[in-house]
Amino acid sequence: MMSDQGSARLSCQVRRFMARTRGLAYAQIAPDLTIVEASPNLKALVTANAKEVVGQRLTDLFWEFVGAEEALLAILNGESASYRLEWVNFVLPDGTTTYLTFEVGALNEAEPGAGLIFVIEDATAHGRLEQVVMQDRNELRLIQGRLTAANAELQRLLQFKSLVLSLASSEFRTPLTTIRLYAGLLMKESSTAGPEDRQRFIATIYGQANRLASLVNDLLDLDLIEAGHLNLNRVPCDLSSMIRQVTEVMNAVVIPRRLTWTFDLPEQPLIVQGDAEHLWRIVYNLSSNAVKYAPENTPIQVIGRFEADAAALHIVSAGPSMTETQLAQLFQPYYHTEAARQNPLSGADLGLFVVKYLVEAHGGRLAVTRQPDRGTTFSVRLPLQ
Amino acid sequence: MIVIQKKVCLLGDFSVGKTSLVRRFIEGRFDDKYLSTIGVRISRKTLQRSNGTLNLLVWDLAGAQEFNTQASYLVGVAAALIVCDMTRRETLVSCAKYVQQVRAMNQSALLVFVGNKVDLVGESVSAEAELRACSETQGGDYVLTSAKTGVGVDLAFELLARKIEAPA
Repeated sequence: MMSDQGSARLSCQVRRFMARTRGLAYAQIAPDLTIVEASPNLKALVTANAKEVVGQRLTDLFWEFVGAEEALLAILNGESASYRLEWVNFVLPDGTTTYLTFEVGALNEAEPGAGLIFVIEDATAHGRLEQVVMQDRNELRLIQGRLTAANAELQRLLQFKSLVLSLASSEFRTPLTTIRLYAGLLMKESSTAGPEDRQRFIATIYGQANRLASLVNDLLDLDLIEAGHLNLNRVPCDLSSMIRQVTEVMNAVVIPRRLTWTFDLPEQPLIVQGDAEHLWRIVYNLSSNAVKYAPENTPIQVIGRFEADAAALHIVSAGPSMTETQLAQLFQPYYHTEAARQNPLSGADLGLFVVKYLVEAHGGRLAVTRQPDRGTTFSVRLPLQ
Repeated sequence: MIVIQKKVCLLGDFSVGKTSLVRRFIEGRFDDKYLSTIGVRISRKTLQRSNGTLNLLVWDLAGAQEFNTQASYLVGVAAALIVCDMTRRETLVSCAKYVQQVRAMNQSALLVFVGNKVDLVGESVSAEAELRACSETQGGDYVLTSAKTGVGVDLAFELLARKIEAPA
């Protein structure tokens, strides 16, 4: 308990405070943190339910001090001058907010262990002004942020438009020219060309159309990726079944080049939780890449299996030799190796970049390795959960 | 029965939805109107647990964009929700700063990262990947929430509660 002398000092301090401010409540706190004296208006500010204030522990009445016991003890030990909380929001029954400042200091700085003084100051008038200023500033910042984002999106769209135009003039032209050429041949020579020639013309048109479709899909994916708008609609997907379907689609290109698929797939479905459309792009782009670069009359091995907590897909083919540096750059957009530049089937080469992004979006990993005796292996590991 | 009382702080840039998350969690409602918080608003939520009662004292702190959160607000913090807005990438970048502030006050404070306003972006892969990376780097779980629809809000606080209960 406080001595009479201490109590007189408190009254004197509070009187000085009250002379300066209106809306003040106070309490005198014993070293064990119980309230020994309080202004009559303190009870209205207590955050916990309590009938009495005096005799209660400060931390039981005011949630604001839960966890702050050490800070209060530091004041009692003379290690700290005060503990202050500004702008403590206090919602009144009518829904309006008052702003309070809580401050605890030593009752007697010369003898800090004697007890504490806790003062609550009503800072509502100042707080409401501050809130209005903050509100205006934050709303302006939000508008500024939206404008900046809209500008960035505009720039991105302009760049994308340039990319599409540049691709339209280069990458799209070759397959379109080929399609027109072979379609023209079919029309002109439908009566004279033999069945084998006709089949070859159709296969070429089909292959070039696929190349165009793939390029358009990669571009659309790239647009979503760059805009940060790629969404995943996860459902259970059977990778094995997807592999069979994709390779079937590619046979029109694979058979004329005398490539062969060899499959090593589990008997049970290879189920992963993923976006079916994006998983299809992953399998398609990797298979397409293998088909593009595998020398004629070679096998392309497709392995699907469970590996620990992942579903793994490995596509192995005898592609062109690559250095470690080239392998490391393979997943960059628009990256071409020398072999790719010379390959007539090579396109804008967005495919592997798109694959890497989609795999990682599924929480998976994409890797590429090259062994002279085995060829190039692209490995995808997708988490089962 | 055991009664535990813990101080939990919500930190994040302005307008990420901290007050709305607290309102949804405590009062089960949502208000579309944006009202900037200054200072701190403290609420209490009592959770009944298998071994007793857990009182979460939830400190909804003003969004600090350019100033440091007042250190005194973080005194005694046991756990924190670090909140970002999934529609504003810059609010995700700030998360590391808030972690630092919490850690400066309590090195072993428990953290859950919250990507709020997920109703406005669907399942944004890039933002979620960044949030996941942030939570992995800083040591904490992450939850996608919408204070508007209520998605993930209880889960975020539940995760925090479980972390508080878990033996150290």
